[in-house]
Amino acid sequence: MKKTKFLNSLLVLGSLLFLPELAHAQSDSTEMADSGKAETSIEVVYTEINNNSKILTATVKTKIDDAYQGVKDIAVNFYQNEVDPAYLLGTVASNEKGLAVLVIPDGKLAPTAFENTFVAAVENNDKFEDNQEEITVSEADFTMTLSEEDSTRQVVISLQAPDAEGVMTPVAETEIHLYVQRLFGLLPLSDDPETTDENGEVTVEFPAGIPGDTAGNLIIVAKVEEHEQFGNLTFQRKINWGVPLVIDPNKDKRQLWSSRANAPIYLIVFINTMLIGIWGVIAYIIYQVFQIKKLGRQKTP
Amino acid sequence: MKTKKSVTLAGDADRVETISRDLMPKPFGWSGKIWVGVLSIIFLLGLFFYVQQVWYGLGITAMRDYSTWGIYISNFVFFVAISLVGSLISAILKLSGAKWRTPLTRISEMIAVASIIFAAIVIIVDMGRPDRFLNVILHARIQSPITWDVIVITTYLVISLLLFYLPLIPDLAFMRDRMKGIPAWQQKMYKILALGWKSDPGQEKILRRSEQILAILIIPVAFGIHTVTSWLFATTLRPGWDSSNFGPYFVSGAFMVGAGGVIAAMYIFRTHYTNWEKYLTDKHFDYMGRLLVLLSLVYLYFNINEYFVPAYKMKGQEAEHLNALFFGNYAPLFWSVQIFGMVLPIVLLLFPKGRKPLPIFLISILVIVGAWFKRFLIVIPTLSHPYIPMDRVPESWQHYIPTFKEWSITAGTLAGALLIVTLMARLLPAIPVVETIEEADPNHKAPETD
Amino acid sequence: MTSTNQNNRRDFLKKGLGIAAVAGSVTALRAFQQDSVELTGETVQLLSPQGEIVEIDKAYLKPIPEVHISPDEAREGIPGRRFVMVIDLAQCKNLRKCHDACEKMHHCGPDNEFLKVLKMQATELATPFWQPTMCFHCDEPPCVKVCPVDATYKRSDGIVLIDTNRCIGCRFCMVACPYSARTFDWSEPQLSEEVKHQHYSPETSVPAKKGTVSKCDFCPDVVRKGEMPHCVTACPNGVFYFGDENEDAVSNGAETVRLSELLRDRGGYRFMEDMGTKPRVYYLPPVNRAFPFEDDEFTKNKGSKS
Repeated sequence: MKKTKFLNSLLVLGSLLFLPELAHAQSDSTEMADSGKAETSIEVVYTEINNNSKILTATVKTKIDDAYQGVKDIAVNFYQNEVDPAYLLGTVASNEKGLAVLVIPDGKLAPTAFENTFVAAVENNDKFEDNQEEITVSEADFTMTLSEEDSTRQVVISLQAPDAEGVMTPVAETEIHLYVQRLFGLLPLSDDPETTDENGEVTVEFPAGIPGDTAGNLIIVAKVEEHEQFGNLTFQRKINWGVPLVIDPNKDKRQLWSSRANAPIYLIVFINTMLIGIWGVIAYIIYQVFQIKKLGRQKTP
Repeated sequence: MKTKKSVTLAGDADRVETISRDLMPKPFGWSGKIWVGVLSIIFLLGLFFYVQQVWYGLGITAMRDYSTWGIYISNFVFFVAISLVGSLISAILKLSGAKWRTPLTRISEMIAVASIIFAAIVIIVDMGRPDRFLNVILHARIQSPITWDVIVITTYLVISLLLFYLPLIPDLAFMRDRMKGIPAWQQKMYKILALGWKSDPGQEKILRRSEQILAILIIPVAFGIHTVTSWLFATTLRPGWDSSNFGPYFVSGAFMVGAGGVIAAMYIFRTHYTNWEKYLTDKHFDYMGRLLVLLSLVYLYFNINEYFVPAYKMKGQEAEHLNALFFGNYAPLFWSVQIFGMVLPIVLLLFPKGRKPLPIFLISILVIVGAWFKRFLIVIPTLSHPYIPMDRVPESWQHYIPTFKEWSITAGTLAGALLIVTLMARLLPAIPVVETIEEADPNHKAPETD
Repeated sequence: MTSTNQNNRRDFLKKGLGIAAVAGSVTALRAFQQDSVELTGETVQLLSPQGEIVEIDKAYLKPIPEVHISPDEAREGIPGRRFVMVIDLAQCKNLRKCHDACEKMHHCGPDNEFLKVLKMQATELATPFWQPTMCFHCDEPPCVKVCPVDATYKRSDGIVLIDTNRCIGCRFCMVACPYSARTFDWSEPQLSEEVKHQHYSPETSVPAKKGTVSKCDFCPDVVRKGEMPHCVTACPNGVFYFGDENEDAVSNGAETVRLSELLRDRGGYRFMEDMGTKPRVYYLPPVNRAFPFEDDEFTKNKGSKS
């Protein structure tokens, strides 16, 4: 059971990784170090999903043939506040694109005053120079409410953040992007992002006619992207507002291009009739040949 | 009911003796040995290169992604075409009551059996994975014209073998009883294959009935085999192949080349064996000549349909294909084949002198060679005109010129088919002996067909 | 325990792309790689698409093994999907990155191109344009119709694949395809030792085999991981859109758009529609082009045709 959920949750993660542009901080170094080790660039992105899952993504690249390419299987240490073993959140090896993703384990974060600094570091590597990059984000409360009245479907997004005293207050004038999750990306619900009003809210009518899965379910995604204060905030909800997908397993079942098991009935009937008819006669003739032989054995002249 | 006991071949013992001496299979003379030797060398060379092909792949041919079918396939079509002669002589002429066909029946059945065997072999030669041939049966998809072709070729081969074998039984018994001084295995072979034939009335009745059934059965199957073969092309969307005329076009061409094949074989047998001009007379050549004219005219008619109608429209890619045939790089071959392989034979055969044995033999050679290259022209130019441009491919991919090895393998299959016919004629009478003796009997009455 | 886990995981992957979409990101969690599942007692919280928080043991965070889809399994399409591609001809300037990526990923070499970029011209007076072509994964595929041994087949997700373990090399499919999309291994393919011994799957078309047919496969192996085919991701100009027709959405990496709107607004069409093959690849006409047409070294001295 848990594993299923785990895999599902990774789907969320997976979809994140396909976003081409994320809020990022980048450290560049192009010169070859004295030690003979290669230098790297690190990009760190902070993403928070549904005010809960906190994810750090570091992209480690190095210059190969005058082009930056992702470094595979490099260990990236993620820290809170500063590079110090006491603040280590986790170590992740990068994938073939140089991407290391850490889901910050719950309870690992030390309490801070509404603001967090995260560091991604490459340390003590055999081939690469030590390098690190940090990002600072402040807390936010990002929610989505879905409502349906008289066939009008509304998505309400609200964004709040603590003020200097730590009281949650609406954040106005912030761009909110609304999407529907699709297989290979996020389909924008409008051409331009919406902007929050003085209540920190955005209200959007959900368009009709967007396909969902067989149950009509789809995932609505709201995002604050590349925000200098919050990083990336994502809120997503699954709801059955889509047009249910109808799969007819019998559609095109018996066609000329179907598998052998699904050959068109008329072909099966026609060919077998021909086969039985003609080979029946052939079998009769062969039987007759044996009759000739039998007659030949009977009485000798 | 037939009451005559014919195992003794009642009648003039001299006549029986003469006919039997003339028609019984004989050991090879020096010319026969050279003939078999040359064919064997060509066949073995082809086999040698085929082994290479199995080892290195079809890359030893000139076929590439655009010209993905080459002379193997056109050769296959040729073999299927010429095999139709079996049904033409043994069935159509039999059912139409043409009695003069008797000395031609076995020759045509030998050609039919040999060429259908090699049609099957050539298809395997063309396969990229001959080791997986059984997949054709194990995973057969009946939606595929290839599956239909496999079915119909097998059926046609079996019917042809029966139609070859059944009329042979009395001859086998005759040889079993009369041939002396032959090796024991040969004697034993005749004995087993003769099935204890003793011209028992019951046996004769069964035989006659079976032959009659087979003669009827083989006609739709013969039409089927070549129609399905034409569908290997006509079911595609390619210019030059995408034609509903293809079935009759192929069948009529097949009967034409089949008739040509029989005429050529008749002439070779007649000149090779002593006294055979008594059996394969000028009259036979004359009749075959008339038949060939008729068949050629039918083929000409389908040719006009096949080329004139699309040429009137000159539609897109079809136009490019036709221009290449009429005026382009295939034009010399195309016009040679159409003129020397079809029009000229028709004209020459209209004259009685053209139907004399030697002239008609030469004409039939023209017909056969023309027919072979006609199949080349049906298969190859189409693939040289794909719908998308042949860009960024090596020059050699754009023009299909078969390699020496490819020609050798093809020549090997042709030699192989001729070898089969030769070996059959070495062991079996190429003209039915018993039937000839019976028909030579002044009291002979044609057995009623029931 | 371990083996059943593996099987379950495998089942998930086979069952659907939705779940399989993670495989790419899971490799990022290699730090947790362990050989057997021994519960560590430490848990992490993750989020499911339903918005639920799931707490799982760290031990489960081991990477999903590379899933090998066998020839039999490859015959089933990815459930609920109908893959579709849209090629924006106005954006193609013959950079050939798609071609190179395809060649690299499928190890198919210059003699067995799965993807071609061709110079096309509608009529003499019209400006030529560059057109990437590949297998169009037709809904009524003439190639599949003629296959005598079920070696090439149409899947429920629209993809047409070839099982080169089954193929007998008759090449009827190549002749039947009016788009010349198929290619044949006329001789032993030149492959590195590593590629040669790679586990064969019709979903990767690797390794190629002598005497069999191959072609563009829409990269179902990476599609299963939630990634788009190599030509799509390699194109810097966003020429290729790929997606699921059932979701009415296609993406070129930079943007995701509704398929129906894209085709409607941009005059989408399919190549040689009159062939009746119903391709799953659409083209957007080369109008309002981003750049002028330029011949390359191959086409400079050659004519072109539509």
